[in-house]
Amino acid sequence: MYGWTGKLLRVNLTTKACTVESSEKYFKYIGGKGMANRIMYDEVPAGTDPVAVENKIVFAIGPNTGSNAPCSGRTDIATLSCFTENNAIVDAHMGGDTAVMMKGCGFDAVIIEGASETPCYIYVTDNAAEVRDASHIWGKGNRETTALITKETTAGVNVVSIGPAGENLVNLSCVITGIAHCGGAGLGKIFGSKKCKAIAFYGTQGMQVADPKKVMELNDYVMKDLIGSNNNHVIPTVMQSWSEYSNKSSRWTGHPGLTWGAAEGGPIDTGESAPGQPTLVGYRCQKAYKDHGAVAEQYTVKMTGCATCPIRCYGSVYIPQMEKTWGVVGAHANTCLGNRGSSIGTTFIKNVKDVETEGDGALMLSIYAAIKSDDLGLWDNYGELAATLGYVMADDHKILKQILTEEEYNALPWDRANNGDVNALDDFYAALINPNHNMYKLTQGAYYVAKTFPELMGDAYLNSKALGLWGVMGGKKHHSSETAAQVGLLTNVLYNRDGMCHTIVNITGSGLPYEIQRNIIEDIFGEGALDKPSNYTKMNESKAKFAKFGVMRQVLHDSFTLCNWVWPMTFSPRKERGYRGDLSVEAQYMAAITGEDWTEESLDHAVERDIQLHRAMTIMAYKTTDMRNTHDVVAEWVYNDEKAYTEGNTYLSRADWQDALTMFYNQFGWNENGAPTRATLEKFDLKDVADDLEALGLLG
Amino acid sequence: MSENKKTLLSREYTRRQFLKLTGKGFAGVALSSSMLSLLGCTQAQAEAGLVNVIATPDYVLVANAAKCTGCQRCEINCTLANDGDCHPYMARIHARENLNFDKASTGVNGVSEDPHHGAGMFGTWSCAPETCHQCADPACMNACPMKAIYVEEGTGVRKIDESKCVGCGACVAACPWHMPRIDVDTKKSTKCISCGACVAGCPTSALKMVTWEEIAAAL
Repeated sequence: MYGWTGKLLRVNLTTKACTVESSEKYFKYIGGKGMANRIMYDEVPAGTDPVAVENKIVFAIGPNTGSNAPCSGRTDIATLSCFTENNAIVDAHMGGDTAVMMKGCGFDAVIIEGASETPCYIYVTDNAAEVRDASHIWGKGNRETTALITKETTAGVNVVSIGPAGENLVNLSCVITGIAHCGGAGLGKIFGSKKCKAIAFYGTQGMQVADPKKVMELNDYVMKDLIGSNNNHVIPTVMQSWSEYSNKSSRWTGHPGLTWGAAEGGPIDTGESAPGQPTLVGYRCQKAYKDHGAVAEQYTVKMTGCATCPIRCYGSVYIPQMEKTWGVVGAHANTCLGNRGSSIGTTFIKNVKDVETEGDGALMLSIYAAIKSDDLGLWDNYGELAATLGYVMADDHKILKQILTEEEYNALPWDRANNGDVNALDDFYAALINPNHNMYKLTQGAYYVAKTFPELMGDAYLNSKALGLWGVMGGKKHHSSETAAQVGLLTNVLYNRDGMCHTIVNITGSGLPYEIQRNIIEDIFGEGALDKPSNYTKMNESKAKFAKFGVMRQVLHDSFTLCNWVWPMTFSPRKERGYRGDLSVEAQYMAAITGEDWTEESLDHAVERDIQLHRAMTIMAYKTTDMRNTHDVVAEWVYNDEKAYTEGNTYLSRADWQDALTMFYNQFGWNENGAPTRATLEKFDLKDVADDLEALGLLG
Repeated sequence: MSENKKTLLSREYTRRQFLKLTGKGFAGVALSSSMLSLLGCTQAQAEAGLVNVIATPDYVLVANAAKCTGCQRCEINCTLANDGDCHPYMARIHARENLNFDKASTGVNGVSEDPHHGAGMFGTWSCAPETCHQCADPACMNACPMKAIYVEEGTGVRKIDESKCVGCGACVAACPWHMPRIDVDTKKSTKCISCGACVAGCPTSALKMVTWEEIAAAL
């Protein structure tokens, strides 16, 4: 079998039975997200409590996973949301080495169902698995958990685990694999509810491809002609001998004079890495420097990242002083070093003194906070948790003092925190993940925080720019109207969490001059598809097509699997191509890998099937076809009817946003309120879903 | 004397000169700037033992741990080029098993008492792939009961005759680095044949192949 393995693993934590089944009936959903969502649709009824024994966790990968197509190491993990409205279906996306190892074990998907009474972990090997006792690991951090499971299994094993946050059923908790890669979406809590500490993979099997020569040719083509840097930024920050442009906001930071400053044996210059040089691509993204500025360069050992990915986007730092100063080994990596726990750290700890050089104190605080957060498995939801904490701590902690008891408040080390004692952060983290502490209520995710404190926070908090949700159902903004106006915001409304769609922001952030971006995008989607930054125009059909493309490619990448943080190849760094990329590459890979006759159109059709299914699942969770006035309601900070469409701002108007939704719904064949019709569902071979919706009175 | 034989003798001379210069490593050896450029490393990296140089009869394979970012593309490129599949476990270059922890440490499965100060992603980021040394006196070849491993004329590459191999694993056990693998599909031993696919696809040039002619020019 080519691409897919043809098998799925079912692990029942109640009975400890591990069984292998065919996965072939799910191939029409491609894999990854599409496959995982269909399994959830078939096996977990809408309305199930996410922590009930009936909820399941589905890991899934696709036919492209592990093909060595650049960035083909992504895993999709689907389950029910524990932190957004109506607990609808969500996907956690994860990089690292899990996906490639899972394919080595021989599985397209792993279904974790039931619940164990005592702590356990799952060890998956070639075509088999076993459920093992984890009583001795329960309570430990993610780093120690990985070390212990590696000792008990084999060198090279891939471990996906939860920390104490997941064990304590914190809504904003995640799984961690490797040193930094994680899957968000409250997944830690679902693992914790099943008493499942970890799942570990070690596989030795290969993946067959129909046309290996073509796969290698495509790899070469992408590496030489199409790929840029992280987010496929195709223009470097600094002019190079080969470049026509530079752009300081680009993530192609590598250039002569910028180094991996703490590399073994002395600094390594990131140098020039012109298009056509595949053996230098990995030097293009110096992300530690991008995230934390010049002070981080001296501590960058190297860049790391996910299996199969040539874009090394994980700034990997080692700061020896941290151990002496704060008692933690100062090694950390992430693709967004300022994210994860870092923002929580800077929310609590103030006035940190520099240790050796100017700015190193702030850097070390950020790294310390991230190390601790990752070890606990606490998920900041792209700054949402820090924003919530900032909200309640405003005006001399006015709201926080009403949430905590006086005893709780006074017991927290505020003086130490205000005097830059980084270790004080440990006490705040302990409170955040302690179910018996009122601070814990702030880790429920914004939607439930607002519900818990309707008077203190409520709608004002939920709609505030400071919190920065895209939608009041609890989805965090993760690129929105600041990215290509209505287009960026529309890419969120399909999802039950932050949209995580990077297709559009990869374009607007590419570093290319606006005029070049516009010309290429208008050639594909029509006139008026791409507004000038902060100079928006009203909604039009070209924008609707562009927005649909954004989510279509994201779902393709999450299903295929590829990294949507780099793909699609809309642009190219090559001047001689007019900076035009190639949007047919995914379909070419699909054909070369499977040996089947795939085109862009047929692949799009399969992707849209996944989207229609996902929408149907959301409607079932919401028990209404009126998505426009429920699920798709965006936060108020997006609007300003007076300033909208004037130069210098990114506001939208309320009326225009309704037009935007209408045009977007039309693109997918949905009714006026955003619900799929029978005709649309049957077009995508989803008659059974249409029947189910009709029986529930939920057909559009 | 044929041109081919002249070339081989010339390479062998250069190889000896190079080995005389480097001995078992680079510690204390001052490398010329042209040699450092050729090997793609700094003097400090070489002296710190980060640069693993494998002198094969045909070329020098350089693996620089300071530049390795753990992407493991080398493994799949190896099997795509040689076997037509994507099979990291079967790669003739091994990146995965040293990635998180240091397999060579005294700990169980590479997890030492203090892994966070050691090599690997759970330490302070040092990692590098292991590959076939194309040994002058190959333990794998000597151990093979079927005489299935041979030195290819012209290139000096140690290859496996699949028609003779019975997949007994003696070569895997004999190799100090356990580099050969028994193919889970064909049940035959397989090892590096110096095709260069791993080098050509390394996105940070942590792997490099340098010919003896280039070395001769830099010596």
